Amino acid sequence: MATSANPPLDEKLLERIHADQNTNTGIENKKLIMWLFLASDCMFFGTLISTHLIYRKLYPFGHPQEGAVNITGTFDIELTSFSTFILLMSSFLMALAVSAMHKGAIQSFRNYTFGVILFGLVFLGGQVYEFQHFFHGQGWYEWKATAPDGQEVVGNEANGRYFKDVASAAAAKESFLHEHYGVKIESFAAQKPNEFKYKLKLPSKTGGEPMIFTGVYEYHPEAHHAEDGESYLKPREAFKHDNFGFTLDEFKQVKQVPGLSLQNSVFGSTFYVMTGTHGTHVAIGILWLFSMLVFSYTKNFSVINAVDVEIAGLYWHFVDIVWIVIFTVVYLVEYIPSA
Amino acid sequence: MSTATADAPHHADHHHAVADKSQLAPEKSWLGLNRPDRHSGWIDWLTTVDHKKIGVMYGAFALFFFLLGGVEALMIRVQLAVPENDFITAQLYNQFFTMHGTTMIFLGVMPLSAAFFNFLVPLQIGARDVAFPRLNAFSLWTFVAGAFVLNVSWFFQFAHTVGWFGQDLRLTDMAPAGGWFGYVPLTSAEYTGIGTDFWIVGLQILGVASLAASFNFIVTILNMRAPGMTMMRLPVFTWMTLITSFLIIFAFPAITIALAELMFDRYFGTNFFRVEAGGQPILWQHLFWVFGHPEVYILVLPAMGIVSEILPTFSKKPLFGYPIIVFSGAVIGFLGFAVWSHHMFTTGLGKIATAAFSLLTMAIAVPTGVKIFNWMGTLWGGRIKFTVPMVFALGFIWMFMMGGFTGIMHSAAPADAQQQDSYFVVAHFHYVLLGGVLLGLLAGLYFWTPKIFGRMLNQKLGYWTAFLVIAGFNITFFPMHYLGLTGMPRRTHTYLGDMGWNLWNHVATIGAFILGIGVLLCFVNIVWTALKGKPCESDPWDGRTLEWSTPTPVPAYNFARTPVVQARDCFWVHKHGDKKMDFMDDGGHGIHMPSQSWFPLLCGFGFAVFGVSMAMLAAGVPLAGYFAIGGLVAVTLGIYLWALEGPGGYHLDPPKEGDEESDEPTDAPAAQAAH
Repeated sequence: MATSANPPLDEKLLERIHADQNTNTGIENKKLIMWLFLASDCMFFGTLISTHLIYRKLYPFGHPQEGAVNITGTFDIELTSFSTFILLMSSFLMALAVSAMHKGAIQSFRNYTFGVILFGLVFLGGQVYEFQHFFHGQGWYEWKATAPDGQEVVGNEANGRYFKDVASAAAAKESFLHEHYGVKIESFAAQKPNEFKYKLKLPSKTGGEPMIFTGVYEYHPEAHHAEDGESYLKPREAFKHDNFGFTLDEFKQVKQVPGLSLQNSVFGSTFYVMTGTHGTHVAIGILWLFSMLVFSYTKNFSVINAVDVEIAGLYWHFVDIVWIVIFTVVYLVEYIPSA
Repeated sequence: MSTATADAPHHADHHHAVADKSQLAPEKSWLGLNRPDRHSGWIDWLTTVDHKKIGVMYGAFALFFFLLGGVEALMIRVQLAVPENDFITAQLYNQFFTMHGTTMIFLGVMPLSAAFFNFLVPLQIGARDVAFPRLNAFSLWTFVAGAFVLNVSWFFQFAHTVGWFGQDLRLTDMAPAGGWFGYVPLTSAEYTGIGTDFWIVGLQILGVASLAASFNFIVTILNMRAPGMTMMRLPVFTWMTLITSFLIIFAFPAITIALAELMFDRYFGTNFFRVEAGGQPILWQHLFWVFGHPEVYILVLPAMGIVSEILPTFSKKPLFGYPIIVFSGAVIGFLGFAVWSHHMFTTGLGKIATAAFSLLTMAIAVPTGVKIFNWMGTLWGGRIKFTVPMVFALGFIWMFMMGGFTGIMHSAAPADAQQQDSYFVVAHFHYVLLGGVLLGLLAGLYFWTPKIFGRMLNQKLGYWTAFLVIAGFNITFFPMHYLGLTGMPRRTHTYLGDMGWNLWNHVATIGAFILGIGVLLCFVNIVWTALKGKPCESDPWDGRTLEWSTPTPVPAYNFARTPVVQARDCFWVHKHGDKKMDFMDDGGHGIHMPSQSWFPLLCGFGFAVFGVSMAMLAAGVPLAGYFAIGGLVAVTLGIYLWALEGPGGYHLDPPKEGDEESDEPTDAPAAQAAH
């Protein structure tokens, strides 16, 4: 860009912008067709949301045959509230981008649009994460282990952070081991060349006193090949690899909520297709804004494109508003205590 | 408000105006590709953004599919001509009635209406093109893709019948067989094969085409009117186009989602309509008819608009009660969304719902009746000329009214419960759609062909067509009232000889062939006229609206100078009244014309690949999924390149004084417009 990023509004450009608005209604053709598309899109989402609500009312637990779907147990309202907030804020940035464009502040437009894209991606990422967790379902587990000092430790992972949504016991066990039971190293110091004094902490899930384990770890490098097969793991890594000397004696599933899939319930069908359609809208919006952002670095981009940014903004706000409706009638109402 | 599109970003690069676009140097879009403007012949037709050429292509495809749908109807009638007939198998019979309905509605009537929208709306409002010329081409090619996907199923059916696919298929129907309203569970994966997949994807693609076209026409009508062309001066046909377009944008989403849900059920095992998993087939019925009933008005309102143009022209009187006609059209469109459940009276909606839908259905007869009285008021005391279009228009009023009467009978739920799914219903909607819509469209064809091709249709043949069509139509469908009331079920493949239905079925079949000959005669007449007919003047009927003020054939830019409209029926008033039309100064720059583009065609191609591949995916053909994705990529690429190439544009010089045809009457504004 040879010229400044924010060229001044010149008379010729203003004249051309004015010419585009010289229609019978005073609204540019492009903007009017966007409004019409959004009117039509209202009907698309209206049909999808009604389908969901009709079935939700018909089958209060979403699943007529194979047992109930625990809807509030499946949803993670904190995560969804967070991503909803992010989407709302992206709309705010979009408004700023449109406003910047109308003032001819192209660099500000770029900054805000970058923010919109980023927030949109965060929202989409949240949705992908959420879908994946809903799909896998949830399991609750009890476990028994022997600590290195011979002490017996029992615990449950009713609300564990690490594998809350792993419905399959084998996968949960693997993930549990991978996270080393949630044990943290407090200290790890060399006593002799191959002997290390350690202190471990297992936080209590109920908020009580954490359990502390101390002892000495003997390091045998040849037992711990690193991934390349040549070198050896460092002592601390090797200790972790040995699960700090813990042995898992028992790991069993005490409760399971099956995952929500397209096929296993009407609720799953309506939920995924509806929110998936919304997610597709967000993805198209991101692609659109990204294209506009790239376009803004070419010589063909000027304040005359403010109307293009504005209609992309209309689309983005619309998708946001639809999400507010979906979030309210699909997520939030599930949390109203039934009388 | 004089240019057809938003100005190109590089407006000044091609300021030199030319008299003919073939004189243009190749215009490069900044993708480095040449715009196809300097071409002529078939490339010109494939890449055109001219609403008139697009309209002609819509019309040509529509006439082709009318013939195809007609042949399918004749097959049905031959099968039913005598009891216990085995002319075609029950499966093929199901496919014929399914494809007959689908073809006539989505590939016959709607595109023929679209042909009129395209050709007439910009001319009637004094614009140089539609608001989005390339989107218009996109609508056309997407429609062609959808039509292709629907009908390519016949080739698969043929291939299966001759044994190319072997004998071990579970579901052997390759062409759609679930009826035009596709009720689940008939259209579920358990009962129908890939025919239904062709049907689902084909209708989805057609929906995209209809939506894009409707957005375009609404913007065109609201935004592109010539100075002085206020909303209450719009020709009624344009008004009906506007209302129809609004109906489309609000009604089509319902069926699009319903089809998407059905598609997910068939492809991905969802449970929207699968009874065994808790799905409710009745939801399909509701979603379908939320679309399906407005669709009836989408079909009939354009025909009403056409008739509202023809009756005043040949009565030499202004349309009686113009504001009321317009308002009635809007009310019909509005109420059209509130009556869908009258298609479902026998499903057990409950007393309150049934009563409400019954009442609303009766209410919709009021604006319809108002229109009929207004048309009669237009005729009253007029100097009526029985030209061919006028004969069709009068036939429309009469036949449509009869269809309306049986419609009112259906609005009473107890009566409807007896008539449901009987031939009485078949008689009713054919009176509305054939006696109403088809006669209206034929009237429009005879009325506007002189403007479209600059040649008169053979009038003598036209009277014969009118006679054969109206007589054949009544001979076919009037007996069906009787057949239905004596209990003959709709969609029956055959019937026993002792039911008392033999005579009237036989008569109906004879009538169908008379009707078929009449329609064929009309189409032969049109094709022959388009190629070899007698040239005619630009305003042969002493027309009332702006399209007749243009020279014939209409130049690419429609109006050399934009007219300034002074009154309703402005051309009539200009010729015979005291308010003369003015013309805007063109500013000496020449006329800005939109550049042509390949990309709408690319999008249509992508949709066709997508549609066929989706059906192949359902059939388990390897790699079909990749081809489906490839099709969508082609569509996306088309849209992207289309955005990047920009609207482009060049400037045309309208002919200067003296070099226009000398046979133009000097007092006609056509001559003024050109000078």
